[in-house]
Amino acid sequence: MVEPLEPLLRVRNLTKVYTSGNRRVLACEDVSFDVYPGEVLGIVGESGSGKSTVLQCLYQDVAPTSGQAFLASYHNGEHSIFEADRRERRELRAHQISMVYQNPRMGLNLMVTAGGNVAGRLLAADWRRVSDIRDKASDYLQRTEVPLDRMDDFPAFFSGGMQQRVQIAKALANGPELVLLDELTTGLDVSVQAGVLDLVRDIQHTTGMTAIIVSHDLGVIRLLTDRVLVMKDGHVVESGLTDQILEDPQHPYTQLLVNCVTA
Amino acid sequence: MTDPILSVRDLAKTITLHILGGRQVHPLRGVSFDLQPGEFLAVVGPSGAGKSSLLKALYRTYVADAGSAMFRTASGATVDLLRVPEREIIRLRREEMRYVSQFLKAPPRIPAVDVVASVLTGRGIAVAEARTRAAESLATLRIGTDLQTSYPALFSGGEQQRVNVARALVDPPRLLLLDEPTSALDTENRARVLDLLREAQGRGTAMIAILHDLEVLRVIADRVLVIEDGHITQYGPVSEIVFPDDLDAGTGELAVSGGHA
Repeated sequence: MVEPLEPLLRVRNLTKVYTSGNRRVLACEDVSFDVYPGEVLGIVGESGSGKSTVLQCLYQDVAPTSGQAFLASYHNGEHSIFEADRRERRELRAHQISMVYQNPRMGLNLMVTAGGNVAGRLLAADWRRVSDIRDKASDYLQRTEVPLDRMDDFPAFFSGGMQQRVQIAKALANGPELVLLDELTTGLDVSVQAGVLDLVRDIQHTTGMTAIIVSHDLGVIRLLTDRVLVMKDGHVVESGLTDQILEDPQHPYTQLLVNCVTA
Repeated sequence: MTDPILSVRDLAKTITLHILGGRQVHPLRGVSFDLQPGEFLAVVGPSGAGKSSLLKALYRTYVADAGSAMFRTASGATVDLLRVPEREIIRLRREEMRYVSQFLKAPPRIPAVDVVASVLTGRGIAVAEARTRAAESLATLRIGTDLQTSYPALFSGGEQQRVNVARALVDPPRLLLLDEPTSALDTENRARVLDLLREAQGRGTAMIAILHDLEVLRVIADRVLVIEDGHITQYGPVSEIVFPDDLDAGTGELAVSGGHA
């Protein structure tokens, strides 16, 4: 297998400072990393460490204060996606990058049917033939184990686990280059968590998707990621191969984190 | 002798336990040896001597502090396993080196056959072919079709260990790191694993294996490395080693498998 050696995403010195009144709150500072095609990168850290901010900046829900992010398919990786204008940003979201939020309500329109949510994503990605859209939507809902007879129901009336699976179907249906997953199992009960994790793992194995997974759950990180960044107080304190971070953590904070596993 | 596939020099590893007030542990204090293609190097020593740390440092699960481990890749390039970029380690782990831990660390809720097949699909082999080869490999180790489709987490220790060995040997890599590959096996299964290891050896796979079973060691090892307190205290052919007392002398039943030159 010939391995493409160019990173799919290069993030450099990403910094986000929120100002509230005359107070400055540092969400993340000088975060730099690469993600290679087919690789799953994990970001771990306690709540407030800035890990979700990194994803929000990359998905451009939030404008970074400074820093750059180069996506290989955006102007050949020569310009930062943060320089994109409104139209280009819409294009990036429609075709190249997708996001799965911790709260499915953020990623779904709850008053549009499950099938309609996935179809909407495909329409945004310039799919035009109704039959193609219908087929693809049902294909992905099937893969994510959403029963087909629920396809025309509103996700507002779904369980949390099923809402999350619809959101994953929506995020993946058009085959984005980079998938951002933010605490995708947090708040789900354990058996539902297992189902969602198996689903993501299966998609990862069959499609070779490239992803960044933010989680405070080291079990999720162990199961799904190749490499890990450890964040604390807005900074990356350590990065490495997932097994190395879990078995031979170097930084005092990572040692604490790894030893805090409850079971 | 051909060029070594792996040349380890002055490998040292210190673990600093920040959560215990910065206490330091020194599992490896300068380890050097060469490994030839197809060679089986047995690592023995008391518990806590640094045996597993050696394998983990070579596999990069541990970060080494000093030294080098020059590995000759399939393409003929030489890379330092201790320093090569993570990206290259991920590739090497998929294509050229594998680590078999003492206990199976298979992800949950995946049937045994797919646990083994994933080694092959990771190298780009089609799922159907990978499954067939995985099933054959498991069958050789007497994991029948019923077990193949169940989750290894539900298996006995010996069954898990055989799944682990199948994973290592379904497609033998250039370098195999084995942590007690036969510790949980009965005599017959142990003999089968040894046969497979020798087969892989014959195809050029170089192996470093932590062994406690002296009998297994005598059957398969080309050379032995004795580690005590992070140092190599003996290194040479089996016949020259004075073995520490705590090694398991075995029952003699393995002798039927035949000796090793």
